Amino acid sequence: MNKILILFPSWEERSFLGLAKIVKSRQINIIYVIEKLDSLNKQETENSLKRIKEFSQSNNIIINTINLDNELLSTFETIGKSIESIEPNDKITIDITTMSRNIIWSLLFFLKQHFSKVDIVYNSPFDYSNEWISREPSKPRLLFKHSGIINLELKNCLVIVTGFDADRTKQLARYYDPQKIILLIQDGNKFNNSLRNKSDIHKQMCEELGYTNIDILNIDAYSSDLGYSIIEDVISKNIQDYNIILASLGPKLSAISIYKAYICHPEIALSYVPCNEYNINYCTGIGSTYEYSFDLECLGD
Amino acid sequence: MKAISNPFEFEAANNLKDEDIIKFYIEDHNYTRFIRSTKNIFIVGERGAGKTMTLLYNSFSIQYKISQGNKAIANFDKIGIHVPCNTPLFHKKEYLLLKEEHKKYIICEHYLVLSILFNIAKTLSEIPEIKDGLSKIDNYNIQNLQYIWGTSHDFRSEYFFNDIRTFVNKEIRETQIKINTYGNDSFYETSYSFSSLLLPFFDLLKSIPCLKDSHFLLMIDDAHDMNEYQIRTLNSWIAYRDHSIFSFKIAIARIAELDRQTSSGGSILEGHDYLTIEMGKDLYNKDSDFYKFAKDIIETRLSRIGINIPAETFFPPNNDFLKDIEVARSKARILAETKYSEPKKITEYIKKYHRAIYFRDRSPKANTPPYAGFETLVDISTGIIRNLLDPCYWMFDNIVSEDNFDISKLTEISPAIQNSIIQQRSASLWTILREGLDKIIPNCSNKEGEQIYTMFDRLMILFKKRLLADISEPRAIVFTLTGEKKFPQEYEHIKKLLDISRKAQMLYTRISSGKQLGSKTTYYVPNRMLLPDRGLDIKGQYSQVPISVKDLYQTITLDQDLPFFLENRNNDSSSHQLTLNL
Repeated sequence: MNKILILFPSWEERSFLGLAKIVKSRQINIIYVIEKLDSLNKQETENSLKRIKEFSQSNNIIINTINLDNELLSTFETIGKSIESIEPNDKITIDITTMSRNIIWSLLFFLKQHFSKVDIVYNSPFDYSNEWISREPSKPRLLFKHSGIINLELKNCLVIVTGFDADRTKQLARYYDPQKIILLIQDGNKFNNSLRNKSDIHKQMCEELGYTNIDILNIDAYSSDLGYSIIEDVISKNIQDYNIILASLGPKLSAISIYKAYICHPEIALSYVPCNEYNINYCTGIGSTYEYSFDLECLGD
Repeated sequence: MKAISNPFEFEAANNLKDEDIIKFYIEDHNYTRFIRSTKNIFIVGERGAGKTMTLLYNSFSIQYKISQGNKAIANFDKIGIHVPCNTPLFHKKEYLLLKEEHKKYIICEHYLVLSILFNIAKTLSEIPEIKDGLSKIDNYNIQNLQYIWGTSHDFRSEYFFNDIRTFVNKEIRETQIKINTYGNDSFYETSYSFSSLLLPFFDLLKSIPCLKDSHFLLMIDDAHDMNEYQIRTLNSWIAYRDHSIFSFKIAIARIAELDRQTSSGGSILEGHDYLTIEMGKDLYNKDSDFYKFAKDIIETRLSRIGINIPAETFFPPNNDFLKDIEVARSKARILAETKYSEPKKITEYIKKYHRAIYFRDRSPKANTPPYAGFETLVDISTGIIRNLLDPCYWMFDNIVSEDNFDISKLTEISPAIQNSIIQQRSASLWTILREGLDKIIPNCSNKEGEQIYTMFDRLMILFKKRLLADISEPRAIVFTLTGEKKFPQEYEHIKKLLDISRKAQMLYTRISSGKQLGSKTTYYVPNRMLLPDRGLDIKGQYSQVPISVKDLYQTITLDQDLPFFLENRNNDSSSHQLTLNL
């Protein structure tokens, strides 16, 4: 049985800083490294990749590279093909620290066809800067195979786990033009969240577009269930009346709780916003590590 | 205290109740004439221009309610069916996973025709007269439909349209489940097309007495949200010659982006296969259609909170401004009389130059001029209803927030509050531009965002120079491009920036027939809400500033001023401009 780690390194320091700990504690012997041909902040990302490869060689770890281009279609297809070589009894860990949400969800989708469980690891940064986070967003997309089961009799509800960038909230609302918006705002003041992720700002962004049916709830993606119980509650209260589109712009761990909700409710659609530019300085160092065993089937809890 | 609802709240039309659409909509007979015709029509307008509201108002669901409200007999001649495309069903991308091109067409058409069928059934299922006529659908017709559709779904005549809705949702659900399963080539084998699903259905509808001679207006809303396969399929239907049973009314944001190809490789032609109507309006004087339209909208909304006074009274202009304008008018008269003796020419001269004189006579150290008055609000809207309501919303919000607010005593919004809000809204537009449109508009790079800010910044500087200069058209705030063919690469780049600006509603365009036969000129109209922050005159004049592609390209790439012909008389782009001795 192989112990496999799948990771998607970026320019961020934490891309590499958490690796040794994961490899040691999980006795990893194969690493699947996802590389984008035209990665963001290219030079720094290549440095991260180089360090990861050197580390792997010096620790006798096999490296398998998954090369992705910038096309969303081939990204999805390549991820599907790349994991075909993983044996059914291999143990898989996904390091989602710097992995894009569409890649996390695509991986979980393909792994779900062959495995019932994977482990998830996430290393938060030491801190985020106060500068801009992302620029040049592409159009929001519904992930391939996760576009929901739309019922024409129902209205549409957009559920957003908000992040530090309120413009992204506005972009999603503008694009999907829903009849109802539910904003899930990260609770607490981690990373100065209470100032940078204020519900009023997100609400105002939606109101500027003419939306009035807006609910606001708190969520804690760093809690033991990654905020799943709140998402599940939102879905169960609205799924009879609305087609639900879920988007995660907030803490990365919410992408996992959202996928758990999707597994139990394949009627919901998952949306993401590809971005062409991220601030190279938007976070520094490495902070807490979060580890979860993730069931790839709905256990109905 | 009872919460007071803001009468200027702008709710997206799709979210309005039918009753609110009837109350809020101000009928424009020009649009109505086109929409209720049997021709294929493209309705073009930016977000907020009122496309959805216009289609919804003309849908049969609303028209039926209006006739009920008027205690009139419903007219079944034209049945408008609203088919929204901005739904998650149209955002699905799984068709891209299919390897064979024809399968992509099939699955995309399948979703489209099922959506149309659903909306026809939904509209008709709510009409009592049609329910009464369902008994006329005999078993033979239903069996025939089942046979053509290849389904054993039970369509009971008394619940016919409800059963159709169930059938559509079952089909759509099964398709989505199949398409979303693991495996890239997941395909739904028993897909429907226009001819296999809708044409037999229209045939059957003829057996319902009140629909015997009906013409169906298939109103495809937000067609820009359809994928390329659906647009080509729709174009094939538009090319269909027989308009006796149905025609298409297609609302789209930007006609230039529309693919005119059909699924069979042909193309559709304006005038032959369809007509286009532009929803943007560019005439804002007191006699213009848009001014009257805007006045109706504001007064209708005010009456909903019990305020029955003219829009001009509720939004009064600034008295000092009026006085200063009168002084400028007198100065213009004195100047005109030294130049002309004919009264008509003198009047024309005063009309054309008095506002420019007002701006020119202001001290360079003075604050921006006061912006207030209903006419100013109409000008500032750039012909877009949403832009008209936005400052009104914030003005009302401002006065409601005052401690001693009493709606029963509300008769106006003071010019001071109007000016303050207009300045705030103008500054916020500039903030969006300064922070970069790349933050909000897909596929806009950071560099392009910076260049767009430079472009608007330098345009405003040019407009200001012109406003303060002794020239023939000082208040032109619209521009055209010249030299597109001479500098094709530069033009491509500028075109992209202009397009991004349009998507962000910083810029609007108007297409007009040129002087040469068959030629079309595009006029670029910056959002007039950008002007107050720069102290410019929001009331334009019937003129445009020609800007060469080369000059504009240099401006945005080198961050330099646009050439102004008075500063450089040899500049080609403005060589035809004349100066007048004011």
